Amino acid sequence: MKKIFLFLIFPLIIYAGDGLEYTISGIFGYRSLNVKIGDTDATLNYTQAGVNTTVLIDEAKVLYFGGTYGKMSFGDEMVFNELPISVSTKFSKPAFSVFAGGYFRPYSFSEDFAIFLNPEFSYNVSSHSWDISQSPYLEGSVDGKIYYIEGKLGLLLMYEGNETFEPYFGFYFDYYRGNVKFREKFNDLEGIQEEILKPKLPIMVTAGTNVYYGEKFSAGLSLGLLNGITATGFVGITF
Amino acid sequence: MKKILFLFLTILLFVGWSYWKGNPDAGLWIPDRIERTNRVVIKFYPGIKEKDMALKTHGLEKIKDILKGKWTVARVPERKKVSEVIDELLKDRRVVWAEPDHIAHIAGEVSPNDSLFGQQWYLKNRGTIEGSIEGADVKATFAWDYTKGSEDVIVAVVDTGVDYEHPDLKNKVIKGYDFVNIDSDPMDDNGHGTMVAGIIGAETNNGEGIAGVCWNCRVLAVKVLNDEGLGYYSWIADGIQYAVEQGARVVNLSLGGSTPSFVLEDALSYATNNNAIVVAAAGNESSQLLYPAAYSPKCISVGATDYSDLRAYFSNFGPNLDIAAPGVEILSTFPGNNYAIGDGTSFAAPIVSGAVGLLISLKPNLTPDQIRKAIIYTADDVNSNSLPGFDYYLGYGRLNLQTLFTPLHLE
Repeated sequence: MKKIFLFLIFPLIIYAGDGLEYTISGIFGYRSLNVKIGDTDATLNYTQAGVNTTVLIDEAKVLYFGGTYGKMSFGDEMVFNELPISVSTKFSKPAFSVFAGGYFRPYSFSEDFAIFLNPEFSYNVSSHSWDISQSPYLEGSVDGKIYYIEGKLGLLLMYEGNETFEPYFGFYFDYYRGNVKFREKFNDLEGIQEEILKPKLPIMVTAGTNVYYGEKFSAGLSLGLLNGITATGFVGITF
Repeated sequence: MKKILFLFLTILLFVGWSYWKGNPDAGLWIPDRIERTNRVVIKFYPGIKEKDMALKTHGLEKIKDILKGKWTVARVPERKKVSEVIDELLKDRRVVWAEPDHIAHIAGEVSPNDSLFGQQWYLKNRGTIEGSIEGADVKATFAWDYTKGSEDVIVAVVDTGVDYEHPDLKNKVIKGYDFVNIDSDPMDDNGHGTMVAGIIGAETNNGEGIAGVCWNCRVLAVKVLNDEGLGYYSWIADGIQYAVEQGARVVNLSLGGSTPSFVLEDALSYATNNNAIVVAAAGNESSQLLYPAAYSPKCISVGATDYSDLRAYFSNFGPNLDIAAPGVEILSTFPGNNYAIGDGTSFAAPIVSGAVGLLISLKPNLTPDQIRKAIIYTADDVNSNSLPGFDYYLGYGRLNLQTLFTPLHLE
């Protein structure tokens, strides 16, 4: 999957270097997703900040890619009971993401409103290793890793009748799949517990607005609901 | 375009609905902090005189006033949910506040109501026996906060048989086979097997008798020793194989001989290869380990401690001793609707077997090797002052179910 993802990113990098108009944005966001981990209902929180590069190919085609750094955690303490020695944790460890996507306008039906198709892919990962020294016999380590690959496909209705504000509303099919894996090793006692991570509800509705200040500067905020809470924002400069 | 948009939204909603439901999973869970209460406490505005009328309006039955009449405790009828009643009360203009009458409990411990539980010092030692030390026990009450065992887990008692008519055992025992008399009636004609069975899985929280270590595990009675407590190795090997074939995940052997035997060793291998774990008593001669206990790591070998966490004077020892558990003044079931107290590693081994039953109930996918190591690596090194670490006399230490079951917290 990682290789597939790199294939998606490289064409965008080539586009970005081809003398086209592009915007570099600082992005920040908070997600609190309702997920299934194994068969357990849980919440996965992800606070992130990073950089996004948006490339304007033409009026009907915008591509973007970027990366973020942040912190991933479970909403509640989770107990991993299939390990020989159970562990419990909220995780709360550094996380990385890379993403790529685009906005495609299939056709124009109004001067003031536009519909965009918005596909996006991302790879998100967080891992940590704990050294354990509970007793002379329980000495060793526990490794934990959370990762998921996310694919979103949305329809975005945007109001383009104002040069400063660009409010929009969108419906997304937002599916992700990954796993949560804990591996422990105490002397010669080893165990692994691996659980599938997927959305409880793979649908998101979003609302937000982009704000433009002159031709160079832009900013935006959006809020996504239904599959949890996703709040994102950006501040960008166009070259 | 409208049709396409409508179709897209319909698909989104349909796919979304299909992902809405979920099930709890034994292997992964979020600690449950929701307790069941059928009572609410209500604070009315000062001066409200028709409190009883207000309670009736909401279908509540008054229990009493508390905190000098500032709060009223009421019972919610079975037909109504506490959460719904709270919502109703909070909308009532006469009510300042209402909340469920939550249930508190001793942190992390579960105590059964069996009448003789207080005498089972090996499960929870309160230091009431002369010379005993509070806490010199296997800390079973902490384990029961995580699991009380599963009916799916069968612990075989390969012994003198089991009194399957004993009130504290009759609902728990599966009648297996009698390899001494070659019939299908493994009734105990000695008493030893019935004591072992009670320690593992006596009916618990039933208001009478004793508590078993594994509340919900079932006990498979297999008779391989006669009324004098003697049996051929071949009977024992047969009994082990039979127990495994009947689905036992744990085989308790509170028996042994001083002579090594390939037959016994093969029987242990058969159990291990079929995902069952054998727990064997070390023996009571204050000498070398008996067989099959000496075949550890093909089994878990168990020595005995007393109520002061000292090695029982009779407990056998050796390099293959894995762990110790209480084996002095152990109260358990006895044939003829009786209870008896006994000493010996025979009664230490079933405490470990019950613990293994609990562990398998919670973690059914563990291998026998993982189970053995989890049990011994979480033991309390109770003689660390004189012999730190593993030693020949208590192995890795005394069984500790609190450490075994309490998850390691990772920050």
